[in-house]
Amino acid sequence: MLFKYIKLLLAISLLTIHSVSSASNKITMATTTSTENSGLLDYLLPIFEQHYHIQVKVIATGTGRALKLAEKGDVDIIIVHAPSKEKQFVESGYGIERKSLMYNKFLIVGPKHNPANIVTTDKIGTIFSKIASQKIPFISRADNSGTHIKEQDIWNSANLKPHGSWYKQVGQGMGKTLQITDELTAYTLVDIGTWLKLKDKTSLISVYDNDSEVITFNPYSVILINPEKHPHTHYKPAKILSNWLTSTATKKIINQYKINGQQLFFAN
Amino acid sequence: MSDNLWTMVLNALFFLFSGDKALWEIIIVSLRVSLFAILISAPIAFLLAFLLSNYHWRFKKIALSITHTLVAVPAVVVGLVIYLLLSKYGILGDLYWLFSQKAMILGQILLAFPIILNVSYSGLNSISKQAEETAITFGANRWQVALILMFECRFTLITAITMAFGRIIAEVGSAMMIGGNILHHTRSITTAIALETSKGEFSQAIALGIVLVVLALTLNFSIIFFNKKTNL
Repeated sequence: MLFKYIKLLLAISLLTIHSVSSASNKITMATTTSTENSGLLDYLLPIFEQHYHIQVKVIATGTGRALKLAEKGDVDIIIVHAPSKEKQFVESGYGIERKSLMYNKFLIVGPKHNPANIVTTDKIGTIFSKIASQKIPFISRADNSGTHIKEQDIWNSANLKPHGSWYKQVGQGMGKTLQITDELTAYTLVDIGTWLKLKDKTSLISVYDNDSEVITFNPYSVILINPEKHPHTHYKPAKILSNWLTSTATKKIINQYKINGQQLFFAN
Repeated sequence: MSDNLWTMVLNALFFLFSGDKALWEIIIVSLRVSLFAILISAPIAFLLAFLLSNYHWRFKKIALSITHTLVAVPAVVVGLVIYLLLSKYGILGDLYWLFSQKAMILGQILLAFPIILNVSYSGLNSISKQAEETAITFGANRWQVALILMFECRFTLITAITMAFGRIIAEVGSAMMIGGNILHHTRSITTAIALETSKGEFSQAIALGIVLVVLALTLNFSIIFFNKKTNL
């Protein structure tokens, strides 16, 4: 008898919770902190939501976790920036319809007094080895995010294995990592979107800003979750969003997004 | 995909009992920071509790309501305050303590102190005056009286410490904000759980979660144990 009541109570409370958060036209998107921190999504999504009456819930996290969430079917669509991981994700059958969305680039930022003696003509590999050989503090995202994967690629390409107390692995989002970099007068790798949005809140300066090196190129893709693997995901509304994001009209909107007159993302 | 719940828990247990270096390093950071915070805050809190319970002064009621309020202050607010103080642009910025274990200890002291003070105050306050009077009759001075009274309600004081320890070791808000979750330096059990979960690496998070739950159970059982002692 008691058990019956408990079951009833449980059912009622679950229904109540369900009624709070359930509406038919809602999709969940996992994306990188850079698209969120840069303010792009706050600018873009309301336009979409108004037009299509589909609400988009955003989970801003690293690319690594976004892919894991997608693998488990916890989200309907992802925007990420780690091409090698994305290919893996699609090849293993979890993701479908991967489309390039936009791109920008990575910068290195650091303290004004330039403790690593970086000059403007330095290649990114040179800068990394200057920092490592002089043991100047460097803050690593260390969270499997796209930025972290890119950072590891650069260390690898420079044949360096960073370790020691100067190499600090914080495991946090880009915004927090910039804060820590500022406080500890260190260097870090940052995507230009987050940097333009947050640079006024730090005393850091950009020490590497180069369009010619391929390695600091930062491409973003939008990927849908395979409905065959996860039938409960909202494939149709997610596809509408994906199509809208990559449409010519939206590309224009993305290109128009600027902070202090500077364009943050370039649509493909 | 190998990560169903069962294999993750098995992995977690393997992590724990194989003495995984990275994992135990994190546990040691947590224990170290919390123990230091208790070591620093407990004696001061005990002394203040003794003074509050044995001497009457004008602002006693106000002081008591302030400490009661402080118990309820959320850890993130403590984190925010310490952050602003220790930041490069803050009053104590020249110490360069932000994102170090020192900063974490400072934050935890602020969290532990009001709990220890409150619990030990109510303990010292409820103790019968008889012990105090006996001690004075035997010629004890003020310090000796304090020590005797604290010894009389030692189980309450231990409970106070246990409760405070339970709060600060399980706390993630301020540890993340002012510790910075730096590997080998300020990554504690709770901030590591937050990080590993956000990376989708659940095994380590589960292992650390088990450690925290076991700690919490042990602490709570010892509180029950000491409470029984007090009631005898």
